[in-house]
Amino acid sequence: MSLNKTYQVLPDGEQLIIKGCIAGNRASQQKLYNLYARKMMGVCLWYARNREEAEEVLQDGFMRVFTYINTFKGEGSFEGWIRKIMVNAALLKYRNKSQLRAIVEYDAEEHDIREPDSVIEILEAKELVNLVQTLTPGYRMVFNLYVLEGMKHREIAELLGISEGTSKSNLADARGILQKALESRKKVAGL
Amino acid sequence: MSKNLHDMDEIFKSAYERFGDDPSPDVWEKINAGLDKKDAASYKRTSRNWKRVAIVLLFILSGFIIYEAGTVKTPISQSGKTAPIAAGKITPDKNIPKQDETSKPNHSLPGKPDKRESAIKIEGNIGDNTRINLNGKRNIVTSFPHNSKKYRPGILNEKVKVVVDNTREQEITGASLSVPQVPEEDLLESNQFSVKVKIRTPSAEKIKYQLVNPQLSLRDLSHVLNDGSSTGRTSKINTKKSGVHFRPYWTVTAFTSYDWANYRLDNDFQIVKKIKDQENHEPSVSTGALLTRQLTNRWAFQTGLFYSKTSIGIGPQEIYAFNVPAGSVSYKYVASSGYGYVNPKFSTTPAVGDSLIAAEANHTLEQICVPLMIKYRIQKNKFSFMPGFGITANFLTSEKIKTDVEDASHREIVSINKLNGTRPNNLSLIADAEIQYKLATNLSISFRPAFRYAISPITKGNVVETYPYSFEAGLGLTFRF
Repeated sequence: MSLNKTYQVLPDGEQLIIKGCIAGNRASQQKLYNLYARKMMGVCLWYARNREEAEEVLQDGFMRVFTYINTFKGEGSFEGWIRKIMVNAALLKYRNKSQLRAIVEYDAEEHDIREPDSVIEILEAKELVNLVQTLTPGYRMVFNLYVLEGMKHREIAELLGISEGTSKSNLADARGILQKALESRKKVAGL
Repeated sequence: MSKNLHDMDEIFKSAYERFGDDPSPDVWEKINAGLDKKDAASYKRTSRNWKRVAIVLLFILSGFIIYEAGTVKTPISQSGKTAPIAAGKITPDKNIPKQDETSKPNHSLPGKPDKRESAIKIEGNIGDNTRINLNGKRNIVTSFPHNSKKYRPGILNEKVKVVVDNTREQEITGASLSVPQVPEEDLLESNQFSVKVKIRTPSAEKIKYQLVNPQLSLRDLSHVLNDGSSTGRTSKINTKKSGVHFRPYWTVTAFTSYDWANYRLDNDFQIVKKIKDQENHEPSVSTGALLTRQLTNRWAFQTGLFYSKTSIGIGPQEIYAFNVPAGSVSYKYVASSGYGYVNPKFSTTPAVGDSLIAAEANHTLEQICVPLMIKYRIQKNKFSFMPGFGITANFLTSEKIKTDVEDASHREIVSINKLNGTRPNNLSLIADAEIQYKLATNLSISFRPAFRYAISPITKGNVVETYPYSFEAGLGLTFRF
């Protein structure tokens, strides 16, 4: 056991549910689904193009949770473990190099993200999700993995099978698009 | 720029962490269906493994039977030849070489007992006034004035005649000889039996005798004869047969049993509980025939064929209309063993979600079962105790549900004669502890408590996986041939 790892002490109820899921008990599996479905649907909506696709990712993700739940050793949070599975399920669905490769290589000097206005803070989370959903799959994956999951470009490139340059470029483009979208929202909101 | 980026990133990240949304109810239904498929695949793998075990067991048992059938053992005489069967006559075996009196030690009095194995040679049945030749030149011959056609143990003779020097008989007044206490067939089958020999002789005459047939040790006999005044000393003689005398045989047991049936259900806890609350097992019955091959004195192999009927009472419930795979809409009746569709005549084509009330129902399952078992026999006098263990292949022949359905103004009796979601066959483990009491040589009465437990479910694609088990108490008659 590494001293650097943290282990989550789960509430007794959740431990029982996990034990039941490992045993294949359907009632326990349904309880686990009911506990985390809402949050994970939120995660899937960030990665999917629309609601239907998000539900498909959610379904695939939970099937993988029930299949591999016996491998959860208590390192880190259980919710974080499920969230990671959902992200992987989304990535499996969209792993396609042609979609992810940038048209041009990234040039840092050309990309200058202007400071967003405080209108961003006013926007509901759902609207931000909708904005991210408008991105192309390649931009969306890189943006989510970098900004939301906190991964580095090297890791993203390895995960998506692209180059670091492509990853950086996609991120910059994604930010640019989101920035423009936010600007137009600002105008609509009259701010 | 980096600060701007950081701020923007933080806002999106914050929204990501707090955002949630309810998925549609369909999502869980699809996950549920996916898990059912996964469980079905797992059960299929498990049952495939059990089937492989059953097939390997079957091959081993078959090989054992073939091996044993090819090494049938018969009684052999000292000469090595099979003893001929002659009813009602006991004669000395002419093939047995006569012992030279001078070359072989005699059992003269007082003398050391002959340690050679010797026996009463009995062929066929004993009739009246039969002589049994116990030794060679100098004989002790007994006559048995009984008129039984079958060998009968106990003290039979009233007179003991001694043939001296093969020329004359001399009756020893008051002497008697009791014959072995074991039944004839066990003399041939047992490796070892006890012979009580009681000789009373008031005469002090020395009697020389010589043992001829080397199958029964009469060493204690000389000890009794040595003491001319002995009266009624009983000597227990243990014998060991020089050859193997067990002959395999067949038995058929016709039986009927009363079954206490039940089942184990697997699946979603709510559905299992609902079905268990509704259903109640009623008295069930099995009847058939078991064929046993007694391979050795202890071990046997058993198979057979029997019919088993299980009855289940189902309580009243509301049944709903569903889309039938054929394209129509019918009311779906779900039970532990499967599901069926009903369309009462009083009901026009229902819409999905319509409901009817189903009254109490009677659900029956009929199977033909083929057991394969290994049995172990322990015999004590007329009682035999035969525990056994093996597997049963069960073939579903009928599954029916009969109930009344009603709405506000109609009532009709409906029958479902074929259920969906059932498997045509399954496997069970079986264990029993048969007790037999011998009424006659070839006829026994048997009491057979047994336990059967399904190792593969009888359902497939039903809302629950059903594993039946039952405790059985049967009575039967066993015929030996």
